[in-house]
Amino acid sequence: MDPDEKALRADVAKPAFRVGAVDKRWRLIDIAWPHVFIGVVAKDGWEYVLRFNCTGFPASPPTAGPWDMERNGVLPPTLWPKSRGGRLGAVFNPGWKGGTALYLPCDRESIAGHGQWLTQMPSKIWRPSAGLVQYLELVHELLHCRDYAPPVRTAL
Amino acid sequence: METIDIFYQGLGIREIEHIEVRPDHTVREIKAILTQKHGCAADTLIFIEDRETPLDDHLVIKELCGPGGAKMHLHRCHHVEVFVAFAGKTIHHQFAPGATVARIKHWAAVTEFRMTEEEAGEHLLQIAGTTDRPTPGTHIGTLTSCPDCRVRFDLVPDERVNGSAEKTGDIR
Repeated sequence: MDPDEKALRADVAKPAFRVGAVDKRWRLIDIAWPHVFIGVVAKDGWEYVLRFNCTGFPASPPTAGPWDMERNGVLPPTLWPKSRGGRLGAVFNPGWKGGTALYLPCDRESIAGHGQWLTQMPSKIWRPSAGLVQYLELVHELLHCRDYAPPVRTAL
Repeated sequence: METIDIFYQGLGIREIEHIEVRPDHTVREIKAILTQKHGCAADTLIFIEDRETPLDDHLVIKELCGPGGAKMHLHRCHHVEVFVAFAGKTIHHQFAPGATVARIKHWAAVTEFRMTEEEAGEHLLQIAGTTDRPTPGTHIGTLTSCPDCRVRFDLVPDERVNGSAEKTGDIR
């Protein structure tokens, strides 16, 4: 096992990650290295699965986007969390990186080319010592803010 | 053997830690385990998260927690003095060291500064003079240094992630 995979597996075994699972805020679904699938629960109880790519973890930030576990592909845009015009919509943007990355300063794909975020939003810059919980806390907070709206889901 | 999960933070223990104990363990026994593990002082107190008073030594853990276990805090002081500044006004209050940042933010934003729940959700507590924004589950006692148990926060808006990329390919 490579050091980054070993570090990731140790990270999700830490109490800080586990207590989030106990509180039903998120849960580990699967690890298929270098991908890690984690469900994050929104304020309406809906679970959004994120597929993380954790290559180089923890020195290199992860990148993650909403994932459809049944289709094994990027979640269709109609099923992404919706914005009421506030700050969630900037982060959950299906048009950014083909839907494979959230527009967050702690995301590996999104921080590239955004050096100004280092000074504008230092609290959201990736901290290797905090691990995946840092990313998950930001996503969980967004899925519980007033800007969150569920997608329109139709019965299958 | 049935066990109970104890997740805890404490003075000098900012990262969440974990132990498993038997359901019939008393607070005194748990305190002994944690004191030895972390080299805590003999007068260390144990609090349940977001409760105001320390636990009596004779209490049995299974009577204190739910199916997910218990969240505890180790500290030497009974209270932490918390100051929160917002819009030119500073408020203060004493909290037990096991009080969460989430609870303190609610007190500051909703109770004192009269925000709605939704408005409060758009603000965060940031340690004064830093860019450190402790997560909602952080116990206030992890942010202090005994015996000067006080913390100063600014209540700040949670900014929108925004701005033009330095290279092509940005969404804006």
